[in-house]
Amino acid sequence: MLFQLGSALLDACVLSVLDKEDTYGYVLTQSVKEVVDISESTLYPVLRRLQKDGLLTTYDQPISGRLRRYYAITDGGRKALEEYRLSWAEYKQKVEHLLIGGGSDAKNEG
Amino acid sequence: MRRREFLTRLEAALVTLPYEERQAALRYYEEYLLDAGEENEAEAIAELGAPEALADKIVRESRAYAKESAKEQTAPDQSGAEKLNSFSNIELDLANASVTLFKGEAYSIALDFPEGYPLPEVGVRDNTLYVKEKKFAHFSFFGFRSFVFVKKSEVAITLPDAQYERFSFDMVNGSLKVPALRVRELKAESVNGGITVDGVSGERLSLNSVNGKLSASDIAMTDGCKCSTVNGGIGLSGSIRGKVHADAVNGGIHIAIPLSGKDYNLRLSTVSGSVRVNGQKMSKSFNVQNNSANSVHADTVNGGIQVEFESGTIVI
Repeated sequence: MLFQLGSALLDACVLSVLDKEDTYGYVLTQSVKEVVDISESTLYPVLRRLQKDGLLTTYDQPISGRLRRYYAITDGGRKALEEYRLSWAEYKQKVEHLLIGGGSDAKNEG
Repeated sequence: MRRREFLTRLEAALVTLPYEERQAALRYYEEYLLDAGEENEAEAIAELGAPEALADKIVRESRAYAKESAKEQTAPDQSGAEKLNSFSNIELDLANASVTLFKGEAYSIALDFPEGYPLPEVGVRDNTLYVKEKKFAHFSFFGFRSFVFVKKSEVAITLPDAQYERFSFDMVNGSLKVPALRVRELKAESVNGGITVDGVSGERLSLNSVNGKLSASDIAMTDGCKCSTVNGGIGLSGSIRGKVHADAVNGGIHIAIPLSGKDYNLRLSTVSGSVRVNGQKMSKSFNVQNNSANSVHADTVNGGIQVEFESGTIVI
């Protein structure tokens, strides 16, 4: 992928994945990697920050004799995700209009 | 590189992070590599890159976040707070209250005590803030202490960033939290309650507890640090010069000093637990005499001891 993912967009991607279901570090990284080519080392600081900001929370599940930490989105996270979705729709429209020119007059659309 | 080696190197490279942050990061990556499964582990480790580079990323993010949130962190609602004259020292003596210091614009104190509970005496004289509980309250420890008042008493002291001389906290039931302030001598004692000091810089630090965890993270001291607890762990990190002394009975000790280990004499011992220095496991005790003015002495009965210095500066 040619385009680099800004940190806000990366946050939004993580929250989107968690919005669908709770998951743990390794799977979360693989899921985000399917969409964006990020390096493995990128995700931990993002998760840590989102957790400190209260947008996601963690809980532990016992598995094979140890504990596995799951990440879950919070109400705060869902609110933030909504805002990201709105910002994205707006942003996408503007970029598309610029890059592709827009057959229909994008500026007049709702 | 194997998982063990990766994590050991990562732990060493994260020495400058506060204890809790470091543990969180290590836990994340240990789980990550375990969850990758045996088949994918080697690939996952390769993709993570050098542990030192990864640590650098983590430390930067953590610092950047700390800076951001420090800017935003406001002292508690000042409307109930009492303004104070300026002071360079604090002498606090409370039996049942938790104390938190905040960095703010001016000097003030807010007391949040349950109804009917006698308020402590507060006053500033001789450049010192005195907060003293009236004598009879000490009896409440076993006596009439109410089981109905679940809400604990809180004292919030706000003070600006300045060079302070001496803070002395003497508490019985209650925890203490001190943010990044510059104070030459900080002495704190709590019988039942943990003490957390974060980013403090000065000359001497002394923390004491019976039932409580002691945590001094990211500190800078020039004349030593003494931490002592019975039931609770001890976590110390930062540039601490002079005599560093940590002792616990039931609790692990973790000391991380991002300076050269060659500049310290070491005397570490545990009865049931292990001693690790820069990630390497020793037997139940470890002594190194470098004829230095700096030293780290750590003793515990039930608990492990982990000491870290700058990578590669410990000769075993």
